[in-house]
Amino acid sequence: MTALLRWTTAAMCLIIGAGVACAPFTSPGTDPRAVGPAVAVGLVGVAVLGLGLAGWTQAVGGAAVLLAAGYGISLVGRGTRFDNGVLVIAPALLLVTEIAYWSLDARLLGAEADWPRRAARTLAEAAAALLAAGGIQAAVAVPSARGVGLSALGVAAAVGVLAVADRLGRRARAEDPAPGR
Amino acid sequence: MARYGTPRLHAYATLTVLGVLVALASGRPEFAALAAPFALLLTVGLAVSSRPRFTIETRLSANRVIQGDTVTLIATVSSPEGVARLDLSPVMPAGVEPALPLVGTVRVTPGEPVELEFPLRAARWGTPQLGVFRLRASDRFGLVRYDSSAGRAEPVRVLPDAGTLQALIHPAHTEIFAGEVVSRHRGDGIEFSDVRAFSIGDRVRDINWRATARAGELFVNQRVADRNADVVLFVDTFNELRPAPGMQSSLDFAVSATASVAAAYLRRRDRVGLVGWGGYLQWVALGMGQAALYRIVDVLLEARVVRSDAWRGVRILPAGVLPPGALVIALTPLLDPRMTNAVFDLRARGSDVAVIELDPVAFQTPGRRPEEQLAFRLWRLSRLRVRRRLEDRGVIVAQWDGGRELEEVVRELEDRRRQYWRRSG
Repeated sequence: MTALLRWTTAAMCLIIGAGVACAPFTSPGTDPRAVGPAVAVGLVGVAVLGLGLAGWTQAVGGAAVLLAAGYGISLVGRGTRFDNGVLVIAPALLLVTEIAYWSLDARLLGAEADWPRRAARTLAEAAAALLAAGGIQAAVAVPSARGVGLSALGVAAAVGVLAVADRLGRRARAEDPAPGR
Repeated sequence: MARYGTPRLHAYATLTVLGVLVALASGRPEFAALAAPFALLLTVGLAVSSRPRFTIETRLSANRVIQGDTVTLIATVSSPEGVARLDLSPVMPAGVEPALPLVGTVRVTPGEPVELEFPLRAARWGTPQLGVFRLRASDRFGLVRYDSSAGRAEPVRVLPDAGTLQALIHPAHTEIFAGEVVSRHRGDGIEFSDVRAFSIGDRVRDINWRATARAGELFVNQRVADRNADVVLFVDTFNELRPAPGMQSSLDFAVSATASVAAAYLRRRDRVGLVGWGGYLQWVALGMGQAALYRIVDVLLEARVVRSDAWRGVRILPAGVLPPGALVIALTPLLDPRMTNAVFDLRARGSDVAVIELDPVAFQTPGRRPEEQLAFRLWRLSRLRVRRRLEDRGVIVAQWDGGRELEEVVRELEDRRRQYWRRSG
């Protein structure tokens, strides 16, 4: 069971990582000259991620940096226009690292009876938090942004982030409160 | 309880800092957006992280096992507040090996104790202490870990495997109590010894009718008495040779052989005693039965090499430990002159001595250089000379390198003793 879980999570992680690495192909507005180097750096990141999944835990962080660097290279030549693709890339990047660490901790996950439910709940919460965080960034960072719609999106994202953080904090405190609290 | 950041914490902090710096340097908010999820997780994770509180209780499935058996160490972890993740690894004393992977990982929920079992193999005799754990607790987000140790050490007595030795060294002298050793003296035993003319007081059932018919006068059978013997096991604890770390040492072989030999003699109702002859002196007075075996094994478990330069002779031993006429079986690598001299002294006092030599040559390599190999050959020659001197005095030596069965060594020793007695009349 543990081995199956480990292989499944590792495969998921590599697939999402490869998706992040190849994102410049699909991103509109990317300078064609930057696509090649961006994807190459991203794929190096996927290879490093493979090393991390093989047991070299420290490599997972390096893989995330490389994947982020690949995405960063794809922004070269884009001009000042904000890339909305980051709203997907950022959560995906966190998802990659989280699943990688889960895969390395598969022993613990496999020992739990209700691990699928816990994993699904945590993933859903994390995705919601990440989308909200991305929304805030988008709302705050786009200098040319105008209109009520985008402002509403930013406000909703901010509220969402706070709500999710509060919920996570409450539940974590309930399970693991600090001594004396 | 020491607190450390996990690789996850380091990775997320690095990504956050890099993202913000690159965003500021390049003026592109996308990098800040990339870093934002990691920053959020770090913030929430560190905000809710707290020092875990838990208790751990340990117990052993048995406190006395035979060497090679498995003893299960059971740990019960409970926490009033729960622990997101707890890794437990028992501290392994020398001579104990894990039978399964050594780390147990659990999530402890409040009010629900978790029980973990660690099967451990007792690879070496002794009294290892088990029950202490190295612990690593992680917070809910896996960002911070807390290292500590806990548990209560309990001794487990690992008894050497006594085996089932069939062959035994026949003692030259027997005692007065009934036993299974065929004595040199005539008595009410089972073994036929001789016939002699009938004399008043002989029992009718002892009459040998065939000899009587042939001779025309009454003849009776004579039998040899079945007696027990006194056996003293003389274990050399001056030296311990080990070919490589983790392998069995000469003392390991000596202890397991002593336990085997003691158990075999006690099974046939002989009295067995023990002398641990080394840096510090140990002895067990002669005794019979299972109680004697336990006493001997208990002392054997404490046997270890203690460096000492004090010169001592067998005279310091209490008289009851080495009674005259006892068969003394020495288990020694014959390396320390104090042990060799003790064997000579015992023989000079009239004891019947046999030596199982734990051959140190098997634990040494001759070296590569010619002068090293020459020194090795000279050392072997000097050892041969010691053996010859012992055998000239009637002390038969059988070599044992641990590679063959003890049974075989004992048979060889007994055969050579018989040959010696035949030669010497």
